Amino acid sequence: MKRPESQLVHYDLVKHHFVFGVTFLFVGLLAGFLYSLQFIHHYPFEGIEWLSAARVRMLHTNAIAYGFLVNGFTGALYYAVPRTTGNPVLSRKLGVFLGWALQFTVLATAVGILLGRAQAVEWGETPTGFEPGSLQPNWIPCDLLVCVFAVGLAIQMSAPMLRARGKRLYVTAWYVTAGLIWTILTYVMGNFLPEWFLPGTAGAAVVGLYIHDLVGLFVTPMGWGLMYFFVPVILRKPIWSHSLSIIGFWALAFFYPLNGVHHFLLSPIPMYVQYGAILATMAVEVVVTTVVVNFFATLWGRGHAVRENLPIRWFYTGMVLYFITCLQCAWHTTVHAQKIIHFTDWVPGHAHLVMFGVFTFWLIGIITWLWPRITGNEWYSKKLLSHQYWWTVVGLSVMFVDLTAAGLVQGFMQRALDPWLEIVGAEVPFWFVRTLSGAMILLGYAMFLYNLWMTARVQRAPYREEDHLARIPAETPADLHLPTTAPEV
Amino acid sequence: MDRYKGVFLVAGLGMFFLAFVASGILPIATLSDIPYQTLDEIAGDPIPEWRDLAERWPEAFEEAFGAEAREQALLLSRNLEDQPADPAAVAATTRAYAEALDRGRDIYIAEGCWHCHSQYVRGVSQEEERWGPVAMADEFENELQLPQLWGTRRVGPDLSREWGRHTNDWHAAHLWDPKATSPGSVMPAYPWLFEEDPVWQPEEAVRAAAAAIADEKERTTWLRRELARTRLRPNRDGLSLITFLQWLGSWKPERPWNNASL
Repeated sequence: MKRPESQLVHYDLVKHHFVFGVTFLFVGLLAGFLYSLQFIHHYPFEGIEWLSAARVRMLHTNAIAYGFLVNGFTGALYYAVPRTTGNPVLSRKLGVFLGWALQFTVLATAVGILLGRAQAVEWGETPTGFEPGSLQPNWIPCDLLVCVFAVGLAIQMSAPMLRARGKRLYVTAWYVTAGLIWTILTYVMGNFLPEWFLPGTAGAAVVGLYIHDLVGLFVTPMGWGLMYFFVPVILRKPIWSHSLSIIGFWALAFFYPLNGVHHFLLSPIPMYVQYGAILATMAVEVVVTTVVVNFFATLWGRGHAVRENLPIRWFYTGMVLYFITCLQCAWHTTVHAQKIIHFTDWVPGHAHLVMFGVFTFWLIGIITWLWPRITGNEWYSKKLLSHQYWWTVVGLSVMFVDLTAAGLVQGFMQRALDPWLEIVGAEVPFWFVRTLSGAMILLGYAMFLYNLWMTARVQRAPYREEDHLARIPAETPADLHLPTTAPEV
Repeated sequence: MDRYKGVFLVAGLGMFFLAFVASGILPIATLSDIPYQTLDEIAGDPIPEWRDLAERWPEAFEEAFGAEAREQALLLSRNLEDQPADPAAVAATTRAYAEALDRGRDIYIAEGCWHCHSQYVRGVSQEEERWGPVAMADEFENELQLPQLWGTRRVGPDLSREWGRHTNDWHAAHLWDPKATSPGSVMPAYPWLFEEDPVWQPEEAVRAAAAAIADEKERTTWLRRELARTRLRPNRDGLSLITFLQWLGSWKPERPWNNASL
């Protein structure tokens, strides 16, 4: 029995998370842009305590991570999970509650960071709400709120999975189920163990594990899980190989978590742990190749969609960048490359490529696909969508190349024992280009916001599903005319 | 395989714990014989810079940590070569010193210092030449390393060998206006770590001396340094942060590891 979509998907929940997600992404991008001005001696709020550049940096990363990525993925899951399992989520009321709880947490985190309540773990700056080392409260316990949200979301999403008894679960469901469990464990591990129980070197190993697991076990499974759903739906053909998707999933589950310590290579952490992390990081590249090959094989026969269909264009651009990122990982994690690039701008270049170029691109693609469906209106301006794409992609590419080059310059100057301030001086031109590339990205994003706003307000044409799916070419061989979309496997 | 949904639950938990054992439990086990130091143990042997803070900014120090703590701090040795201070005097100032270290560390975290300053020296890329001895695991087994502040980026210098590299004066001037001590620095200024916001009116003598410097850039730098030297008074947060910065690396017997290239 198949339910009509209106009973399956709570569009108001999808919309809620997308609206807050795109708003927080704007805050995040703006914060990043402002922070970059500090490096070219033009930070506008110098001397204002709560807008100190270093605090704004944490606002940048946390607004993106918790404000945008969590909201974006949650919104997309509220659409994809019911569609892929054929069952609605546990409860709409729970969804509303979790939604507002998340927005409150994000705001409390942002204000807490600006007031100086941050913690010293990357991506775990979320205030604990207690004076360090004691149980004396000093702020809203954001860490605990994030945990409440993560557990609530896991319960919310596990209902449709468990109800799908007797049916085979599509790969999206595997990623989401495993990802939600991993997220809870990862978050608890990173936000409590090193701060309360594990000092020094052992704590650093766990912090490395946390930094990496949040990317590898929360963002990556959600991202790929959603790609396995949206790409076949839009292309109107099943994924090329289910066997490869199984290999990809299990290999990710096995290798990704072992990578963590590569964030602290050549540190006092025991070398056998470091070498293990390096080998696991290299192995991830094999996994990534299977996944990327699978998706490009799926595109076979629908290549025109990359040109004609914007969500598909975002998705596949992201996949190319993902492949580049992981290829980079596989060799820059070696101790030899680390001698030069560790501690330099190479690393932020790499991080922006994956967090912005891959996962943010995918979410923008998903929002681009779902927004007309949610509002019932066709896009206000498709031309603007295309402009946005190019500004964003070119901006990010410039930023990546620039920061990578800057990293090499820094790394070699540091090794050559050049005076420190000379190294800083040599970087300023690179940082200037970085700011410009950030401005390009911001401009592209402003187009998106305007477009979202106008689409919701003005109906130029009603939404028609057909317009948003890939065209099936007339000359396609008959055996490629597969009637189903993959999620109904 | 996918008929057994429970398997994903096991995968989720099992794989995660496998990684936690490999990169969490194993290092913990390897490092478990290193003794752990509490804050009080660390603070048992105050650095000479602590005494210097009490001497240099008497009112600020008294306001921040109390008159008694200051009196006791002044009984400490002036430098490492002096005879060890009276143990009773050390004990009396230890509590204030511990408080300053703890608070200084909080400021270090709140201001995000750790995003641009690393705190470990690697044994590659001539880092030993520039910073000092390579980092060892036993340096970090104490209460002020919860969590450790190693960092992953070096926009500014590594700070794990900071002790003795600069004077308290220098740190105050640098936190007030980084460009005053380090022309071209991209570090933000932290004026809220100081007592008041002094709107500096240079005295006649200073004006005359400044006028004698022909190069404009040099003159600006000189004026800034003069301001920092004569008019600044760190508040409790500022004193604590300076204490914490000076403490970094003080646990190593070799000192100083100054060199020209920094």
